[in-house]
This record gives sequence, structure tokens and C-alpha cells, in this order.
Amino acid sequence: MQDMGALGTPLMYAFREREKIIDLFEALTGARMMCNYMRFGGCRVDFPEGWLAAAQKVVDEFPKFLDEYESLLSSNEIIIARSQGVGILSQELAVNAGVTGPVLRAAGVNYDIRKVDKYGIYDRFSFRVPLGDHGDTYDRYMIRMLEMRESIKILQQALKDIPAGPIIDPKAKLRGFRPKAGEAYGRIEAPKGELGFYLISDGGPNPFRYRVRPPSFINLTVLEDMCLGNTIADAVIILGSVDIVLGEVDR
Amino acid sequence: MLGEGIIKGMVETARNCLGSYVSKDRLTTLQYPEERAPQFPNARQFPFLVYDGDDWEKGLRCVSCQICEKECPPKCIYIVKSKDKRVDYKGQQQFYPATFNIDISVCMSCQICVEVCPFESIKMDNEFELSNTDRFGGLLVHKNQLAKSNDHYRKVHPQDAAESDAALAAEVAKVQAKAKADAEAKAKAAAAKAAPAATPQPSPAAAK
Ligand code: SF4
Ligand code: SF4
Repeated sequence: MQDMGALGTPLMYAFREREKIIDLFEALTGARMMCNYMRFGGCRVDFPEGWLAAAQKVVDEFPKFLDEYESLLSSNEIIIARSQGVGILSQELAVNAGVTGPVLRAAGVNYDIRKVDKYGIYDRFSFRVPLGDHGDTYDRYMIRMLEMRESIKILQQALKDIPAGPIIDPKAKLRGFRPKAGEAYGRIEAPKGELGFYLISDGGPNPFRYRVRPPSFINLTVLEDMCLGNTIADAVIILGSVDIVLGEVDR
Repeated sequence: MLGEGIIKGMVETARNCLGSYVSKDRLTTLQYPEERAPQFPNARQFPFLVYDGDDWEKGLRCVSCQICEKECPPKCIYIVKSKDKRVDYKGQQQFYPATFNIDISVCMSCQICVEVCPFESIKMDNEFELSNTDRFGGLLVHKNQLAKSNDHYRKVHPQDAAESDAALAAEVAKVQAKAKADAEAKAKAAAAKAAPAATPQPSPAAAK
């Protein structure tokens, strides 16, 4: 969005909310970004006192921020003029290119791994998967807005049901174990798309082969097709709407 | 009406701008460095080495086992093991690090070195004002800069420090108990040795 000249205000408002979320991370794990919190069989530390209440507060207040954010952008004429009908991605191409995540759903393909695989405890939550019908930049923006609202719903349900108890399976081994020879693929619905990890073990302590399926990298491959026929100024917006993380792309 | 959306956005901006003068919630920035946000109790930045006692060089707990060097994901720890040994806090002969460098421009504050260290000797600090004009040398911190006293650790992470102190005390107690048991066993063995020495040696043929 900031590529369209909405650089200051919406971005700073988003940062304000992001700060609250990151503060929660820091209070729990000690670090803002490199949380290093998950472990095989559980997680590293328990909640500090009052953390759940603080998290609940952030989750409760978030829809208000989303309303604010949308009133800044969603009906803004400049945004509409510059993004509707720009960078159209057809369903067919999206599926063929292996695009996943919000970019795929904005093209109207109903594919969310949380629904398809029902991994983890996602079958216990009721949430909807927003879909776009034009596959243009505005749809991709709108999908993300709607998905944030759905995520808030999931978080509300999760915070209500979170059980008390041990945080880690005492039998789980963190280091120096040898998985059986074989291969495995695990995938999750990350914010950018399907994040998959493929591992081959030959029975040793280190993986024989290890490969990450990076959603941003694969979503970026359709950039050229989306840009063709648009102006150069639009290319920037289209790139922004794919929402890449360069750490994933640089490989 | 054209422009309605833009006006709506402007109203929102104005509400936040004016609101920041009356409501604390809308004012989200701090005038750093005069004002500081409070740090979280388990905030972590970069590792440091704990020492006991007054002399940092003698009191370093690190025994230069190099486990952290191996486990560090970006490989930013560099250790050279000492040639000689010295007495550590448990009263045992141990190596010590002749060189212990951490490149904090590479360190990603993951805390893995802390978790793998079996000797409670490397811990996370919460010092974050580390900006430096020397990009390479200034961010490569050496043993003398890394060494911080146990009191410092108690101050930055009181709860963890208490746990680590307890673990160390238990460890020392165990070692002392073991030493005592060893001494007793030795005494017993000596006594036992003294006893068969008195009895005549069986001939080799009989033993077979
Ligand atoms: S915190 Fe992580 S990156 Fe930094 S020195 Fe320790 S193991 Fe290495
Ligand atoms: S800090 Fe701990 S793990 Fe690292 S070399 Fe010293 S004793 Fe070993």
C-alpha cells in the first residue's frame, strides 16, 4: 500500500498495532523477532503472569484498529483507481504456477491448507476462508483485511480454550536423536502461502536432505504475467500486493 | 461522491492526531533516550559470560568445552581452549577459554548457546545500546568484554539466576559428596588392600 503514496499514515498505524503484538512476543519469549520458542513436543517457557489477559486485550482491540485502517484505505478513491483491475491473475495460471496463500485465494480458488489438511487443532475452530473474484490487486488487499478478521475469530476461540498444564512433553528429545530412515513432508498455511518442509533421513543425526518450500518465492514467479499489459508504475503496486519476504526469495 | 473515501481517511487521521494530545492511548511514541520503555523480565539480547568472585579472569565459569561453539546456528562464537588447567568453582581441574569471542553482528540472539551450556556459564544479557562506529572490530566482543559478574546476572534475570544458582549449588554439593565418598572409598580400598597384603599370595597356578 505504501507504494501507492499512502506511505505515512496507514503504515505508521499498522506499526503501532504491530508493536503491541511484538511486545506480547517479547514478554513471552524474550525476543521480538527471533522468538525461538517452539520445541519438539512443546514450547520453551510458560506464560508470565498476566500474559493471557494482555493477549486477550490486544485481540479484543484489534477489530477496532482494522475498522480504522479500512476507513483510511478501503474506500479511498486513489487506492481504488490504482488497484482495481490492475495486475489480474487468472485462476488457471495461479493454480498452474503453484501460487498459494492470499494471492491464490484472491484469484478465487478455495484452497486453504488449514481447511484442506485440518492440521493441528484447526478443525476445532470455526472460521471462514475469504475469496476474491477478480484476482486483481484490490482483491488481494481486501482478502488480507478479511483474513485478519477471521484470524481474530480464531484467536478468540483459541484464547478461550487454552488449557492449563505442562508445557512440554518430558520425553521429547531436543538434540541428538536419530529419526528412522525415510522421508517426510510437512506443510502449513503461513501468512504468505504454503510453507512446506521436506526432510529425508538416512537414519543419522543430521538430515540427508532438507528443503523448504518458500511461499513468497513461488508466488513471485507469476509477477511477470501479472505485470504484462500494465504500466511501469503499476508494477510496483503489483509487487507489493504479492507481499514477499525477501529472506525467502533470496535463495 | 468522488473524494468521499479520501475525506473519511482524513477524518480518521485528524482524530488520531488531535486525540494524541488528550489521550495517552493514542500517543504511542516515546522520547528516547530521555524516556525509556520498561524492559520485559525475560528480554534477551546478546550472550555474556558469567564469572564468580571478584576477578573476572579467574572466576569465569566457562570450561571451554566448545559445545556452544558447535551448536551456535550462525557460528558466531570462536573459542580457543587453554593449554593448561586451573581450578574451577567446583574445585576440579578444568580448562578455561584462552580466547572467547562472539561476533554480535552475526549473533541472532537465539539463546541456543545458553540452553546447551552444561556449566551455567553463558547467559543472555539485556543490554541493547551497543551501537558502534567500528563496524567490524567494534562488534566483535572479546572475553574481557563478555565477562560479567554473577551479580549482574542476578540483576538482569533474577528468576533465572536464582534457578541457575540453585543448580550450581546442587552441582557443587554433589561434587563434594562424591569427593567425600571417593575419599571414603579410597580409605576403604586402602584398608582392603592392606588386608590381602597380609594374607599370603595364592600361587599363580592355583589362581588359574
Ligand atoms: S545467542 Fe544464538 S547466535 Fe548468539 S551466540 Fe548464542 S547460539 Fe550463537
Ligand atoms: S560457555 Fe558453556 S558451552 Fe560454551 S564453551 Fe563455555 S562451558 Fe562450554
